[in-house]
Amino acid sequence: MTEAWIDELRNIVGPRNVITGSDSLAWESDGFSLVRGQGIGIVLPLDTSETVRVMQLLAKEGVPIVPRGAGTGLTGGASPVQGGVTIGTARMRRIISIDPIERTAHVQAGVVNSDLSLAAKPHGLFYAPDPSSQAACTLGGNVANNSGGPHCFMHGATTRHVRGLKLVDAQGEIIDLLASPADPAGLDLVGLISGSEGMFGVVTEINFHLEVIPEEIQTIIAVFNSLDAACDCVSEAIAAHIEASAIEILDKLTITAVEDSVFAAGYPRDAEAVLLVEAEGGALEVQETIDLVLQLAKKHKAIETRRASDGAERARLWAGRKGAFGAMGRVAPDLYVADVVAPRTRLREIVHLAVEIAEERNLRLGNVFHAGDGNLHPNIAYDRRDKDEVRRVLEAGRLIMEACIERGGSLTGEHGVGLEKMVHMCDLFDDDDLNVMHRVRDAIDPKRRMNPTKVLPLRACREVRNAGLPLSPMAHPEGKP
Amino acid sequence: MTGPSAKSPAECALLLSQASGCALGEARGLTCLEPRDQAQLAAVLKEARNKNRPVLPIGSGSQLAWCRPDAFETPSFTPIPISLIHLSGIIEQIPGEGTITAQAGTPWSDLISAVAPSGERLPADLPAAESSTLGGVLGSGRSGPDRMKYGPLRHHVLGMQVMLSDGTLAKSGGRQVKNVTGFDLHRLYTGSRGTLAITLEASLRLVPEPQQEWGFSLPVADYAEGFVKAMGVKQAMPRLTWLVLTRVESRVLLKGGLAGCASQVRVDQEQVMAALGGTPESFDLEATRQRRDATEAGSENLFAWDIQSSLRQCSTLLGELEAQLPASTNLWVDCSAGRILVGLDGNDPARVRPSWAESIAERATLIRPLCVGADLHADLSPTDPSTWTTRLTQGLDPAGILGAAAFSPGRQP
Repeated sequence: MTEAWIDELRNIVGPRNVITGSDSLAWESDGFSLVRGQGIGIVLPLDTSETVRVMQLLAKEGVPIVPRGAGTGLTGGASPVQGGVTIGTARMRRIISIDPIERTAHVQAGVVNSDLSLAAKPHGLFYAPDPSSQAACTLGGNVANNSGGPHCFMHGATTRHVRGLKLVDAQGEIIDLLASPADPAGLDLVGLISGSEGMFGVVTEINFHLEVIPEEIQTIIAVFNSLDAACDCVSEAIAAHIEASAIEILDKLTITAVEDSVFAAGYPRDAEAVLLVEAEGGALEVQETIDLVLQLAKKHKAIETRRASDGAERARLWAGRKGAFGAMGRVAPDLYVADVVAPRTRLREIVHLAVEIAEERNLRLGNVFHAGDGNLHPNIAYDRRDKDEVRRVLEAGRLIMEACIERGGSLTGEHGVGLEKMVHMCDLFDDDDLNVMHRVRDAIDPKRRMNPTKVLPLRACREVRNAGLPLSPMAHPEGKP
Repeated sequence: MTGPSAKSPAECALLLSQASGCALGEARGLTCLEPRDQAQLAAVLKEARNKNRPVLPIGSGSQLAWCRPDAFETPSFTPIPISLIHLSGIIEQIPGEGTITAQAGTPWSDLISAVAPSGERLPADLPAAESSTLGGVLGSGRSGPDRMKYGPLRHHVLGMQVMLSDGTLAKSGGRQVKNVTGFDLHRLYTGSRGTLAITLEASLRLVPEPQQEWGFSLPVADYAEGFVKAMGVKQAMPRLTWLVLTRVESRVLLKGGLAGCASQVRVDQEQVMAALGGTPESFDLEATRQRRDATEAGSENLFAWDIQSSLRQCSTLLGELEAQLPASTNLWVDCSAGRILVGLDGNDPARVRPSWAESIAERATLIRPLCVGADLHADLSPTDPSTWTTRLTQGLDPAGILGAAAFSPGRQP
């Protein structure tokens, strides 16, 4: 970074907040470590005002921009594979206000997810979306990816909780939608921006809807000696319109990894699968939901059912579930976290397929997933130094995605498309579908400087399929489809 | 493209009909084109582009007041209504998935009937279900009073297929309850009033049919007092499903209800009545009727102004409105969203630009007229602080034949 404009960036945000050279290596990838890129540097603005000045300068210089929260994303969406400048929200950590009457929170984009619920607690409120990385991931990153989490089964993913936001676009113009009403007249721009993976601008502030802390919460685990039985139990519970807040399954490899780790939750090590169900609300409705789950667990031959006896045990059960990805580090140094959606009536079939695909390739697969939403996370433990294993991992990931799509499922439930799944967009959408998304993108960012080469393939689907290079950046950011 | 046609809307509708082979029909007193399938719709759009004639997808026409074609003063820019009533039918509903996919012209009431046997309901309780279509409901961005429990309807739209004005077919989202693949363009289309694309089919998330419902109706002194009471009961009972204020004859009524697990509803209703502070005799209790009445009261074409305020401001605004409006004016207030619908006599000159609107506009999040004459069309331009709305409209509809909402009658697009 020697150009004069780099010094101008330093003048705007302060010298310490422009990171270049070897110090920038920590930003070369996100949680999808198979993809790495070295950009010009990282800029950390303090607020919207500094972001505007930074973006205006980068617009003048025609520099590509990669927005980034905590870098916990799992699809390469925050990796600077096309170079350019990464704009991080690490200094935007202020919870600006919490309004208990409106039940909203106005925050800066770099606030850590779990910090918002902590701040809202004295008001009897909480923020519902709870990704497993919630102790590290930022709310701005959650908005970009429309992140989920176990309790989104009841409360919905991030987009349902965004009341308004403020964004700085590629030209440095502020789009202030913070005061967006509950039912906006005109276009729902907030809905469009949520989940757009940083391709329309940098979100700097968000107005979130908060939920009332329920009067009763109960959590149970049901232990099964087959993964099939756990899946069937969930499918039947969904068909019976169960009103739980979270329905999660962990398989044997995951249970073992968790129990061997600091996240040990007391899951039985001899179990083939554990079903974790939580219900929240009024005491009587919670009781009814839990009774129904227990009844279905018995019908599907659960070998043990147990209710969390207190808040501490409940917290431990969830710490195990949310620590599962980290715990898999005990199995192998790297983890490929797939994220696909299966029709909820075909859970067992698709989980089976994922297991078969991994076994055929001699891979270590752990399943931990949001069963209630049909959102599967087949996790493959591997060592990226073993090139052949990397090849088999990517092949298995692709086959699992294709199996889901063929059976009416989807490519991603909560992690986003990023770079990892970009070419697979052609499995779900055709050229016309993708061209319309490009037209929307071009209406907002005609030079395509925001997070280039992510989400939308830049070539026609036929060419993408023929290229057969799922993780290679495929075109110049200025290229048209 | 040639210049805009100087022919009258009826003549132009006939020309488009003859050129595309599309039949003419009638909706709400308007001549409209009624394509029988997607190919015919594409042919209509092609002819509309060739003739530079704007068109307006209207569903069944129940929400037409926002841009009623016969209110346009310049016939050459009057949009020709297109009704999709023939593109109707349920495409997929798999018991156990909790979703439904249907064509845009499917009556809302057909969707209700289709999901009932599997113990499910749609996530919005809307009035005039027989005369509303799926595409119309989504295009006009409607939600029911039960948004308090389920959230706005647009949160439950899982995916869509649309036709752009150039005939391109495009889908977004999918049919799964959880999906973040690609841009959520279906969220953008929902509430866009057909200005970006014409919805052909949509998938919705369903909610469980509650075991039991309970509703109340309590007379209050006025709207401002009623709103304060509403906030009190909302605080005391977070599980309320809906909560509205409305006027029935000379009385202002606070109405609300619960829905869910039977044993919980029975306990919660005691808590609600205690929070409201009335005696049991002062409540009119009958869930189904109360819910229906409340829904109908917030219905189509009855209201001239739609004010969206913060909950904090709502009580003050209601007091000011009551002081300035005739005593008989009906206000319908969704107490969960701070939304006030103001009903004014269709002949009242004050409906056009009432004196109170200016002062309220400074504090309310949004004011928009719902049921207007030609003189108010200019105010219907989407309120977007940036140029994004224009850029998106031009990006998806460069010919400008779907952009009726953005233009006032008589003004050249």
